[in-house]
Amino acid sequence: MPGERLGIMRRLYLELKNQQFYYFVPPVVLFIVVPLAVLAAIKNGAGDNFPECAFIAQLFIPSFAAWWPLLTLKEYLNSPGRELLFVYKSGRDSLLLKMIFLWTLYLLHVLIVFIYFAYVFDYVWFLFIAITIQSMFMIALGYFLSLLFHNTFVPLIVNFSYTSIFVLVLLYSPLSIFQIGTSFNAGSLDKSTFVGVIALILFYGGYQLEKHLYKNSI
Amino acid sequence: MRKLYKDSLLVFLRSKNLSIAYFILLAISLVYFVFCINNFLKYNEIFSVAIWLVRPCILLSAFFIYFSYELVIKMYDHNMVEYLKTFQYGLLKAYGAIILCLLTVVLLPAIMFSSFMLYMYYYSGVQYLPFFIHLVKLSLLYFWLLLIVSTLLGTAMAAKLKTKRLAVYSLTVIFMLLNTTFTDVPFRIPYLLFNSYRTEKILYNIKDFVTVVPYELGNNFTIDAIYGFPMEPIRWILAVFWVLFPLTLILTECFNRKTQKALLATSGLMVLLGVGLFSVRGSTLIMDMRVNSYPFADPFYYLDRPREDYDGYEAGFIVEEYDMDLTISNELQAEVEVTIDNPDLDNYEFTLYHGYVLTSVRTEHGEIPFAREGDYISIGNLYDADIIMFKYYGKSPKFYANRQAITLPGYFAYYPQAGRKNIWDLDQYGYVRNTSRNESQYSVKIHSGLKIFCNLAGTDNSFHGKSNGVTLFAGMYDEIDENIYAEPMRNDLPKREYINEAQEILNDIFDRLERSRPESINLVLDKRFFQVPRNFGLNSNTDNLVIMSDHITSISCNNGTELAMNIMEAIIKPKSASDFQFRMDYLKYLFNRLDENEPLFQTSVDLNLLLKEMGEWRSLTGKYPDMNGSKYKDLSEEEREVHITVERRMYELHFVISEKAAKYLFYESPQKEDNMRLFFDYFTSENEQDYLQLVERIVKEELEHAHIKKSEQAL
Amino acid sequence: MLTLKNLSKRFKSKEVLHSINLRLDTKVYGLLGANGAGKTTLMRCMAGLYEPQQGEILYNDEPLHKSKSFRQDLGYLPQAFGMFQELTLYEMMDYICSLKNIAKSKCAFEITQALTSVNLENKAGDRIKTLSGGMLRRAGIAQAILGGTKLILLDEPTAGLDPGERARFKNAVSELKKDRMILMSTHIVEDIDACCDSVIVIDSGNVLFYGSCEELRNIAIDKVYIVKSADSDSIDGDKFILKINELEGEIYHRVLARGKQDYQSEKPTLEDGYMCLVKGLA
Repeated sequence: MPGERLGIMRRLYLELKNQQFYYFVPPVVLFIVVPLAVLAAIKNGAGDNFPECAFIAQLFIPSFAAWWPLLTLKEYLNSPGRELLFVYKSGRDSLLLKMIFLWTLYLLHVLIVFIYFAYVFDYVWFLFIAITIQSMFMIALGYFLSLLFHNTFVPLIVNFSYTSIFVLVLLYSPLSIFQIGTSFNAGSLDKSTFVGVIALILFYGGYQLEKHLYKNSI
Repeated sequence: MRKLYKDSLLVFLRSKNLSIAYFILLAISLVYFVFCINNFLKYNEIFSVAIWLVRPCILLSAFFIYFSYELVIKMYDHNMVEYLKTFQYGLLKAYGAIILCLLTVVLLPAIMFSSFMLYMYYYSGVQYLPFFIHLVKLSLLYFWLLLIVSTLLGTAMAAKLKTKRLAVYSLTVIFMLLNTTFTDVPFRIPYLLFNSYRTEKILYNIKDFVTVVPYELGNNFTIDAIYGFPMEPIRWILAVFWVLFPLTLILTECFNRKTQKALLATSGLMVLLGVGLFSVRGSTLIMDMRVNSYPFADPFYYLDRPREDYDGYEAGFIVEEYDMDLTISNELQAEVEVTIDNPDLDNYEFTLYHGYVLTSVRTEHGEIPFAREGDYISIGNLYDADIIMFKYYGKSPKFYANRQAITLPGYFAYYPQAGRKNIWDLDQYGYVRNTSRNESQYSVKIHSGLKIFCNLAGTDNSFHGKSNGVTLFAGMYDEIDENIYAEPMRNDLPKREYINEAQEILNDIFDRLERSRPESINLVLDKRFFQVPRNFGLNSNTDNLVIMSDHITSISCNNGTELAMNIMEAIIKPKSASDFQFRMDYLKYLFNRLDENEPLFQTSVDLNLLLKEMGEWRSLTGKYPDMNGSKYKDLSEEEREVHITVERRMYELHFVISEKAAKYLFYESPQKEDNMRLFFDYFTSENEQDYLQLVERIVKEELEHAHIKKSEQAL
Repeated sequence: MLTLKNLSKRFKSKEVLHSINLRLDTKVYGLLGANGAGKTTLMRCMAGLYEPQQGEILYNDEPLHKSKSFRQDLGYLPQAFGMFQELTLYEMMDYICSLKNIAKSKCAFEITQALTSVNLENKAGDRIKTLSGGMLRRAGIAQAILGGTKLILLDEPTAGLDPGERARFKNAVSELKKDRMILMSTHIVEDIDACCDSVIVIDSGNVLFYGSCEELRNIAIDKVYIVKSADSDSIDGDKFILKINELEGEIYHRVLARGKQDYQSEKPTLEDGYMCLVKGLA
């Protein structure tokens, strides 16, 4: 078992390496764009500008959460060599597992950003939890749509469209997973719980599609 | 070719990942139309609905990039290109057929959008031809051309990048995000963090170059009916560029090496031409978060400038006559001849908005040297010449003048004005209404494709007459009644009866105040009335209503009372930024616009408490007299909490004090009529005293008077 | 029909074809060579897909790019071949007819004839994605012969075909070869033996041999020996082991030797002749 896990990690590492410099898009966004944008917001305001930070974090972090997963899924759905990938697939080495691993990897990066936020603002950890779940939702949505359409281009467009619509325009829509407001506390995690449940449903749906994919693979 | 086109359509329709996505997209678009139709039927606000309609354009565009890329890439995925190339123009025909297929696919949504636009026009019953033409152009530029551009971009990406999907994904995402306000957050970083206005400008220029939508997703600024959606010549040029450039790239794949090189050279030239034309695009309406946009350009500019107060500045001369020759194409180009009354001075100062670049100043003796500093021009001795010719060009981000619309109010220094005048008032956060006391004789000729409306008499864009300022408006603008000019598409148009009513109300008010009417509002009825765009009030507290010698400009005119109030507001001068609330309350009582159901009217004002609150407010203002951003950062966490609490309390108190003081002085007080007159004199005088001091004095006097009276009664 | 004069082709600094001179007529030619020898590059040059750095290719004594009839007469099957998966075989052939400017009135007949030649007439109504690899390859041959082409270039036509399909392919070539020039590149020597009138052997961009199959075979006369593995070392001079066999527990080597040996020489095959050339044992 540990050997297999190591194998999965090794394969995941190679799949990420295969992305070449596109791999660095989320780290650049997380470690450069988001902190600088938050710093700029602080400098622009009279002082503490937590609502602006929350807005920036929710604008960027969940939307780029699906970047690595979608680029990894591309190899399984769109590349000419995908046949080989399915030939050696073991039951445990599922795409769903890969999505979870990538989500965890992404969250580790987000954690670093939030350690920085913790020095600047108080009470950032509720926001962190909300963003964790939003990221999971975006990955789940990308995973589900990729397997539904056998294509990763559509989920990518849907991913950024969703963020653009619900963070920039329909802030208070019931369909929005984002929380725009001044306070992030235990109470504000109600929405996150609901979003988490939807994400799990999407993961489940995606997994069913994935199993169907194996049966009629190529 | 027809066969190839039909086969390409078959391939599209039989590809599940394309056809299903396409039909789902159409279904969603249809549902969205129904939503927009519903809104339109409810509110009958054609521009607001049109904004909602165009908002998701970029998403539609992204999907069409997807459709076109996925369709074309089939040729590469299935190794068809090699043998297609062996046929005479084989690959060219294949591409041609696919592009025709995609254009067919584009038809449905484009027709849907266009039909809806036209339906809105006919249903609204407005019958205004320029607006109809505007909607047709909107459909053409932002639905048809946009979707065509998207299909060509997707095809070009397939042709050049082929199976490098990651590159295609990245470019599509970048293209999408550049057409939304997603970029506002990172693009603010250079200016806010590093004070690099230049970097911000470069970033936004890149964004503008690839902007293919009329209204960005996430943009919350409204559109002025006079301007409509942006359709300046540069937009059309860019649309043509984004059609031809990808097309050229596609063609490079279809021909042999020699032709390829020629085509690549052509695309290179196209890029140069496109960038070149883009760099001279002139005046465009920019409504977003950048530093040089309509809402922020001037506030930011004047914030960084040293504060200079030119109120009461004596120029030493007046301008007797203006002879203006203006050309308004991409921006304003002007040749203005100014005749002054006093040619003997050693120095002449003029005010001309800093956005206009002065190229030369001449007299009959030839060119003369001048100094340009911000909004001011300094000229030396004229050697007895009394006519000065100014030549300049440029633009203002707010008071735009281009091929699409013109909004140049007479109180704005878009032509040289005598002396030094402030253009922007930092305290009031608004443009200074430079209404000169002196009138000049004007002769104005404007070369423009638009029909221009002016306060002076004239036709065919030639005007002449006497006034203290020349106001020019053009675009979707018209004379809706005799001497009343407005944007016909607005639903709050001014009416002659409102102006009549306002005149009567003002006459009554001044009779009640026992004061003579200021010259400026005599014969309001005879003045031309220009309703100005709503966005005039966006970044300025002072453009609400301006009274010139022969005309009035006003943002709104919903009824006679509101108009009269706005006119009165223009007359009573603000003394400081803090008296705004009190002035508004004063007007409310003066015009009897009260709602006696409000909680304020349920109890009398406790004067002693009022005095106490005023004392508290005064002591709180003394606690942090010079607070700014950097000082705030130096405060500890606890100190910041205290500061925030103090600020909140000050804000609450200020509001309460203004409200209560106004209510007592102008509603409850036995001397309320006298108080009205007193404050009218205060607001219209040069008295620099703070209004609260006056309030405090009156309240104390009345309290004492009441106490004395009570004592007398007791005796 | 097709004349190559001093043809050279270079990709960046690497010269792939060196001064190739060939004259090809209405025959079936086999183009034989190892991977990377330059076969596909040569075929692409002949198909007008590549422009040579040096030399020229003439079709009926006219340079390719000037010849009006070349494109009309050419049928080409590339090494990697595919079609629109969503179309039926008939629709795809019709698509090719349009590209080849075949008159609408003749399309149906041409398609039927081409499909019949490759035994795919029953598959005309099937979607491309339902065809097997071999059928797709045959479909590729069918599109190459559409419109009565006179010059057919087939790059690895039998790649991925099973023995039955290869046999059918050979039969198809036999039927097609009348009044046509057919050039097929392959690694499979048996196919050349079965189908081709002449052979061109190419190695590292140079033509090593151009002649009949018999002539190629004869190069290895008195050079091929079958010896026991223990005796293999006793063969003098330059040698090359073609094959290792086991027979009744004994290992035998089929050896190619430059000089005459004391052993009984074997009748050479086409492959022997080819190996003789490429190993420099001719």
